[in-house]
Amino acid sequence: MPNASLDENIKLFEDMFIDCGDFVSRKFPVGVNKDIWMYVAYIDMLVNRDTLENQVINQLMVFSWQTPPKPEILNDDPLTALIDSGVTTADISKVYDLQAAADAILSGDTILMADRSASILVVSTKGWPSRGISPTENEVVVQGSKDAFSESFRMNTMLIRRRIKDTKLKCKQLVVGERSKSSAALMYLEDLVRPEVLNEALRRIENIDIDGILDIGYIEQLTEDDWKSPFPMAQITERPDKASASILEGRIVVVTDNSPFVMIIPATLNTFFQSSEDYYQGWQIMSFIRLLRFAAGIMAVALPGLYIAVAVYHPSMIPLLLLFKMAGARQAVPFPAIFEILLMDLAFELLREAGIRLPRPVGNAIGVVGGLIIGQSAVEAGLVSPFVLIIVALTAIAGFAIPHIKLVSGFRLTKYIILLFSSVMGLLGFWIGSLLVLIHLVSLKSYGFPYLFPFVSGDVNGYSDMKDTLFRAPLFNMKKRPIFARPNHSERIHTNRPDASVKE
Amino acid sequence: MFSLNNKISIRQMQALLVLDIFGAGIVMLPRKAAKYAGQDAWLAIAAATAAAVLSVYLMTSAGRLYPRDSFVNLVSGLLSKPVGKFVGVLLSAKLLFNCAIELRLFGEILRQTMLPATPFAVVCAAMIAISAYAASKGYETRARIAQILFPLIFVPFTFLFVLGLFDVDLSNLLPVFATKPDKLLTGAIHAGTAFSGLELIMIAAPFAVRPYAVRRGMIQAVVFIGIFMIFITSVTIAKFGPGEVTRQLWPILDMMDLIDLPGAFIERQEALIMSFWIISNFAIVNSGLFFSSVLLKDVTGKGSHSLYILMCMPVVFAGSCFMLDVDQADHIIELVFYTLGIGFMIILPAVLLAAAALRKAGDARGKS
Repeated sequence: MPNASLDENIKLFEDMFIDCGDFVSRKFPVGVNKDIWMYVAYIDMLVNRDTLENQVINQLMVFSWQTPPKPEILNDDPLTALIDSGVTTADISKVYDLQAAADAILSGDTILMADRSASILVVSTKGWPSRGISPTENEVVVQGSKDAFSESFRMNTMLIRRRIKDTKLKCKQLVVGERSKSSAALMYLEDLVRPEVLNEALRRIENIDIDGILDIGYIEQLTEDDWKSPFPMAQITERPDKASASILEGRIVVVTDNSPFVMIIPATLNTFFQSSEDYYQGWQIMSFIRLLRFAAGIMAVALPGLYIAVAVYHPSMIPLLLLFKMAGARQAVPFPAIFEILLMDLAFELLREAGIRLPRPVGNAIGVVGGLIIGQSAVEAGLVSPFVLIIVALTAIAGFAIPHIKLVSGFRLTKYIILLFSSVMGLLGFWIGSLLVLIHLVSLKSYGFPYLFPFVSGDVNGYSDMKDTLFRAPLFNMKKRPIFARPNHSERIHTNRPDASVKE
Repeated sequence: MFSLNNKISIRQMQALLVLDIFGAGIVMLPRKAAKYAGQDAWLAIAAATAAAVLSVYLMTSAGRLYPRDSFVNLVSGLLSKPVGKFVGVLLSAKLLFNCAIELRLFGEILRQTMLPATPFAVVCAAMIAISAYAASKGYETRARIAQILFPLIFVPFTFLFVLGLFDVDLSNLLPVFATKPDKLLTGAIHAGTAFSGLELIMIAAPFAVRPYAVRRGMIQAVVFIGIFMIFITSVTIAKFGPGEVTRQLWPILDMMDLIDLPGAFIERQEALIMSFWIISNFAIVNSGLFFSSVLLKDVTGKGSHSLYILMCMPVVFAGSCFMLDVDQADHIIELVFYTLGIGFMIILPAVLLAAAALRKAGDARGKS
């Protein structure tokens, strides 16, 4: 609780901001006789100066005294009287200790103190420069909205609110990070979300005890179900339409300060193969693409291992003509097949990493140099066979076909397990490696939901979730919400498909 | 919703049971059935399936007496504690023995077809390790694995045999009903060994979310596997003829190898067939390890099931290292089936039901 003496409060308050060059404050008199002193403080560039000057300071210093408050009210509680007559913005609140006031101005608000007042006024003046709404960069679609989340917390919540104009859309705000004091929000539809999932998500986020949250990735890692798993337990997206669609499915979107990505929980393996575009275009083509993505997923994790198992241990499986060609191509290669695969695969990983770090035009050039020139040179030099080059390239392309990059990261790591077993025990090793990955996947859960749902335990929701897996059923046929929604609110389409034929 | 309570749905139980049964017995089934029943082998399998359904009925009736009790507690409650413990240990030993024999046969086939240079011990150790890992994850995880593996085995398997239908001589299955009843019965008894593992129902039943739906679900699973056996046996006999089939060691494997895959993208199918074999062997060994550990845990009343899995692993490994050829292994499988197998599948449930009737014991709903 601050003292009633303004000067003492100012001293205590400014002591907290010693050596903070971006701290701005001013003590100024107000009133007809200039006999009431006020104090304003904020952080430079975190506030909207227009709002601050026009709706707060200008009003207090000039216009409020055209119709001054009654002296008895002014004497009793000067701050309240000044707010009523001088502050023309609606978003205000009061705090009663200096630490809370300091937290407020660090979040972009402005504080006002007055003589003889035990409270401090916090005026919402957040208005730092931001890059605005940019187009999506990582989750590009042909058909669908182009806007992406940005680093602005409020802008991100607005992008979701703009899509779901329902009072049941809740935005439960929290502050996470001892020092960063980052804002975080859980956005969900209160009648759709499962209470046990919401409570668990809240519990996990509230239990985070860390000095700073600089990106949603911190929250993701600190709340995930199994930290040992290379597979993602939550979806990360930069697309507001995807986040909104998830909320409509009864899931929870976690938004945080300074991150152009939001987190969607719970998540299953199946959800990582879904893209927002899947629902904007016809079910036929999108079912085909979905199938292709799952095949790509299997290729991304298993193709190199399968190649080693078949080419080295069971060449009799390969058609004779192809086998001769493969043997001919490998004739000049001095290394074992496993070494060839590892060499090319690690070279590709290097290229990928270099391509990300470099500026885009140079990154493209690296792709050309790496992919074409080094690959061809390696084949001509007899370091690798062209078949290995094809296998590694196909594995990499398959990874790019999966819409969620974090799932691809999981596949990138687990493929080495299968590769290792295959290189030791052929097809038996391939299956042992694959079973190892499968056992791991089936034992995973995201907020209580089996990771491989609905491929396992699909009967819990009457197998209706299978309509959005390997194939995507026509929209009118997907009447039920996925398992994530409350069972008593599972219906999402209430009407049947309109009859297209018009009777005359 | 999806709590970790080690409870599984009937659908998951069905997938587990089918995978647990789908082992070495299946690939030898046409030989065994055709040896006694000739072209009427399918009738012998149908009779064996009917007997299996009867066994399921008996086992689930016994299980319904105390649906939430574990197998050891059920037997202990009705036949005294020492008997319950003895039966638990005996069944555990039988399951471990089954695992060892299955592994032995698996290793033999693998040595003949895919990995002639790889030592058996390596293959065996790898299979036991991966199976134990799955078993240690608990019943829910095992059930989910089964749900994934079930279509992975049965869809391509069925597809292959449907393709095989295009190149068969149906006259090999004629005349129908020409076999004498005694031969048919002998064929049915021998074909019944393919249902070895059915006794797992008694241990698994308390894990079901809806214990009273176990009977129906398990009968459906047994009928499914019976129909599947009849289908693949009939296609195999129609292809080779009953005489030729009785001379083959693994008629199903020979049949699969002869089927032409469209597009000829695979030169020889042995490796593909072995993929099915690896998965089914994994299912059987992890099931054996899991249920043995559960039984031993119930018998001792101490420790976690993972501890007992660790203890069972070397037992299975040592058992599988006994040098047996396929015929010897087959002989031992039959011997164990006719004694312990039938004992657990038919005699024990009948004794339990009789004991319950005498003592007027059991859950009211179960008895009704």
